[in-house]
Amino acid sequence: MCVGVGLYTPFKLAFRNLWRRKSRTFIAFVGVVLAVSLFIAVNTTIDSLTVNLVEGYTAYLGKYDIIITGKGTSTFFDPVNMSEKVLSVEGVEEVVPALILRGITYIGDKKRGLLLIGVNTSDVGDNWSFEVIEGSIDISTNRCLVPDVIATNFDIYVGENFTLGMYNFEAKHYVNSSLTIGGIIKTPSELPVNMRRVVFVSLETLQGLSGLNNTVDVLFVKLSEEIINYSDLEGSVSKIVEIGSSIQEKIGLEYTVFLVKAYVLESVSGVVSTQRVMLNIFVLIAVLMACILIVSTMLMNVAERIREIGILRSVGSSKAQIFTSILIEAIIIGLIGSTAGLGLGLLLGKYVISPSLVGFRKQFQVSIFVVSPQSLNLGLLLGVLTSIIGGFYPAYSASKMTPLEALSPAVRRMIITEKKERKLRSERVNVGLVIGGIGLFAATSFMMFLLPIIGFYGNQAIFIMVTFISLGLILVGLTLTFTAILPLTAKFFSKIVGKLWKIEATLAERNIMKHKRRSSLTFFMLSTSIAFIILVGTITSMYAVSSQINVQNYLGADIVVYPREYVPVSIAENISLVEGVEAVCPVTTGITVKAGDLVLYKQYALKIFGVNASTFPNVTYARDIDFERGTLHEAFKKLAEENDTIIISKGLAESLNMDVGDKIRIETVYGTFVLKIAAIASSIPGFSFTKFKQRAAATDGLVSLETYCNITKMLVVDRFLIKVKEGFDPIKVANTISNEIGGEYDIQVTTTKELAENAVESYEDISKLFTILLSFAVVIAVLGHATSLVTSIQERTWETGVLRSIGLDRKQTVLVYVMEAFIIAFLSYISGVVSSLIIAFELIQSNNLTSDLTLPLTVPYTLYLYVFSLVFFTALIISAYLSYKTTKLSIVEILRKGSRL
Amino acid sequence: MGREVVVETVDLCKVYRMGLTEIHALKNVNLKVYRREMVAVVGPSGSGKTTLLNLIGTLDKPTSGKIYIDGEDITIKSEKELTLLRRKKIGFVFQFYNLIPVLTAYENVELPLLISGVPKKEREKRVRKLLEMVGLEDRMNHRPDELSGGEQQRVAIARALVNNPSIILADEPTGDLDTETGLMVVQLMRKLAKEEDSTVIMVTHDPQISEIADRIIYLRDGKIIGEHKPR
Repeated sequence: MCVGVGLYTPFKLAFRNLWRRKSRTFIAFVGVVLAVSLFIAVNTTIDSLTVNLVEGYTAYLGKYDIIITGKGTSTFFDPVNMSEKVLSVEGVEEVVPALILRGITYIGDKKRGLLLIGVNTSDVGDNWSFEVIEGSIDISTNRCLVPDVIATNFDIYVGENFTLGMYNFEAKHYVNSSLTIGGIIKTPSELPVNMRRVVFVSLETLQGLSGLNNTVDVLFVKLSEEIINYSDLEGSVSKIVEIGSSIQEKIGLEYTVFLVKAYVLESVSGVVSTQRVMLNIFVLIAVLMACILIVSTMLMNVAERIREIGILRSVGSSKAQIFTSILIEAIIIGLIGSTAGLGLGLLLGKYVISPSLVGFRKQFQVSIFVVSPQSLNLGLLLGVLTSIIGGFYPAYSASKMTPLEALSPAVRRMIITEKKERKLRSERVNVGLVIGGIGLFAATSFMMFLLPIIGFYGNQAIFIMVTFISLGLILVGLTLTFTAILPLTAKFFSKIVGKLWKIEATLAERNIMKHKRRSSLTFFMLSTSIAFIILVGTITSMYAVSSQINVQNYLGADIVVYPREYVPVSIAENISLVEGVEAVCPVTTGITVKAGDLVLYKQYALKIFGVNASTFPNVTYARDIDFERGTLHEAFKKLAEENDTIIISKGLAESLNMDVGDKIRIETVYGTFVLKIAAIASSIPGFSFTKFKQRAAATDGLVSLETYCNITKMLVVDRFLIKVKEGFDPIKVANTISNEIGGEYDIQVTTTKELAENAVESYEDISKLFTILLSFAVVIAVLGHATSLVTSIQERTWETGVLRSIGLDRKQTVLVYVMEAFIIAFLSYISGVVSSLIIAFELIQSNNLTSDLTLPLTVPYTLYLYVFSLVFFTALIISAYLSYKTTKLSIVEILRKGSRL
Repeated sequence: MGREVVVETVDLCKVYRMGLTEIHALKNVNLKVYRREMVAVVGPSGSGKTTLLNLIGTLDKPTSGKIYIDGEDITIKSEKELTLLRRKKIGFVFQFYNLIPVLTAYENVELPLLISGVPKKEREKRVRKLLEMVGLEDRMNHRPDELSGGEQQRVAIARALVNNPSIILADEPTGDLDTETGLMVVQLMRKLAKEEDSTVIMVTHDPQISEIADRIIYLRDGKIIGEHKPR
């Protein structure tokens, strides 16, 4: 083959070999396409998000990257000298000097403050690009340009003159001058948003008016485009800081160099890197599946051509040549797959991934989609690397064989038997046990020692990545265990199925075990990808449900009205008259006190709120089970009937070793008080109550309005909690309250329903995105299963003929292969589901034992069904179709085909 | 007393079409095979021996002519009926890869009985008996890759006989075996067929093997050109 010939022959042979097994090659190729396209979709989306966020901030902070001013007010400098120094720094593209001063205008009889900016007339149109609404951009000799916002506010027009009063630094007093409005312009975007309500005049005019000849007080600096690399924001920030430092060095420390763009990029970088890390973890899972698919495919290719390899070795091919020829096949799949994945990735990114990002935050709107060459190159490289890694082991194991081993099945059997015997020798080290032990040690060390270190030193993105990877490793550990026990589960399952279809189940189970490596790889791929998608889906649906509970817990009632100004308690009556309102409870502002036993031996911070004890039980989301010894109504009845009583949280009560009826001492700025504990609650939505004594510090306590008044001698309402009548839409009721009460008082009305719906909608968007991303891994795993089925049916064509010849009918023969597909699909689905449930359950327990907000175990049935359909139907359809196609031939044709194969 | 005809072919023809070319594998073959007879079909490569065997064994369909097995015209039977026929009346022994590699010798022999729905106790009894008859009762739990070529063929013979078929069709059963083993296998097949009241139609190249048969039929270019009784 490659004796004495370069790479041309190996490539030619590799192409032919891949073409010989078209279906298997195609499946492996699709796997690489999917992995690469997902990588590109995710990373180009994040690149686009970066650009969009930066553009958004730029729109807010103006187009200039650096702003230089003098330290302190009224610090002026020579623009020419300064600009020269700044321009001499590498990376600075242009410098725009300006003078910004405050003046006073007299328009009609109104006196108003005005910000003026003097710019070089030569810079107008270039650095200052104005969109003229009326008039012209001529700012020569006392003419000015006024933004439309100011023109409307001040009621001024083109051609109008107005008096401007300004301090003249030469004359050392205020001087009045006249300015003519030369043009009205659209509010310019070059400046930061807080500097856009300015009037533009020529620099000479403003210098003349202020007596500041040949000086300015600000330099706007634009850096060259290459400095900003959207794919490496941190690097860009470093460069900007470097340039800023060089500028500072040149101009001296008496000036302030404000790195506007650096701040923008730094904030965006933090947000974006977290997103990039999180989404790329899902990509990693798909890439892992693609890699395993390549391993599986190449192993099958090698197994089929073992005799050919023997012949090649016997005619003089070296081990390295065999290794290279097989690796080249894998590389070809990777190269072609990556190239095809580029286009698909861009489409996926633009139309599927980008629109789903808003689930994380509303600001994550990607309106400009950019294609970053870096992401494309990395995607290509990833595809090729994946196939090299995947192809390595099969190429290595093929090259290791001696010619005799490759040519003779009997010799191969002998070697396998020898290996088995060697393993049984007592002095031999159990390698599996050693590897398992080292693995366990490494995993535990990672969790116990490295995680806290990484959490301490790393940024949020790294912490998220490490947490996800830890979770992933635990999941893989579970699926590996299930893979290891596949022989047992397959046997057990086939015995059950064999009650109905003995022949088919027996043959299926035996064939699965005959090709143990192939079956194990397929099983591992399927169960791991299924476990990931179901775990992530379960977690997001858990958080979606708990987000609703969180909102309820945060707000505490159906509607909450927040007054933005002082309002009397009596407006509770007005609110209660609104249609749809069932009950209203005012809540006072909280006062922070020290609370403890009577001698304050133990004391904790406590925030006390006053509530209407009669109406509170009717509005709150709290339940009877949240209260120790008694019901919700009983607790507040005590609060209403007895003065100087308080409801505190269980955590605080336990920390103080107190119970209902005990007295608690509170130290306030208003004095010392002793209150009797009317009830103890582990949770009251809208307030900070806890069942854990570890969180006793900084909890809330509730007293009646009367008790609150006794303590503080005043009543300031913080909010009103409202219960909506059955059958009424809370959002409509809230709108009515807004209109009726909001007309008289400045209030903000919030509904639990709206917030909860928004929160759930966000989680649904996130869940959809995660499902899409992880579906890639599942599809690649399903392709792996398809490859295994295709190979199994092909290699057993002769056997199909024999089965038909001894009396199995076509249906039964098809069922033999369908059963094999079914067993693998079913067992891997179950193991994936069980693995994910185990971890979900662990997460819930861990959360619920340490958090006041319990996470419910939710089962996303739609997701289970979706994954089930994807895995099962694909496997059953492919196996049924291929085996039916084979059995459609006459028996003699099957046997002929089988003998050729 | 007239001998019972088990297999009869009348003007049997088989034509293969390869693109525009027609290959007449069998041309008006008329043949009768009697119960408990062992017939060897010999002829050069391409003479139509395997085609004849495949048609009788219902593995393929004739282009024209009739085939009768136990008096039934099999050329008019449906696919379902042919499947049943293969279960009950026909046993096959191929040259190689006869056995299902993932099943043990016992399970391979048991397979046709399972397919026919024979109860467990009866299956066990029958399988053990046949494996004893072929001398492999000690090897019944071994898989094909643990058996020698001769042992594999003996298991194949046991499987072919397990359902008490009317006919055993053996296509080059000794092709992959050494001479001594081949002779032993064919003699065994003959003996067991007689004991089980089956008829054997065997295709072979080997003159020594064909001499074991009761009758030798010579085929050339798809036609029977002669017959000979060695004993």
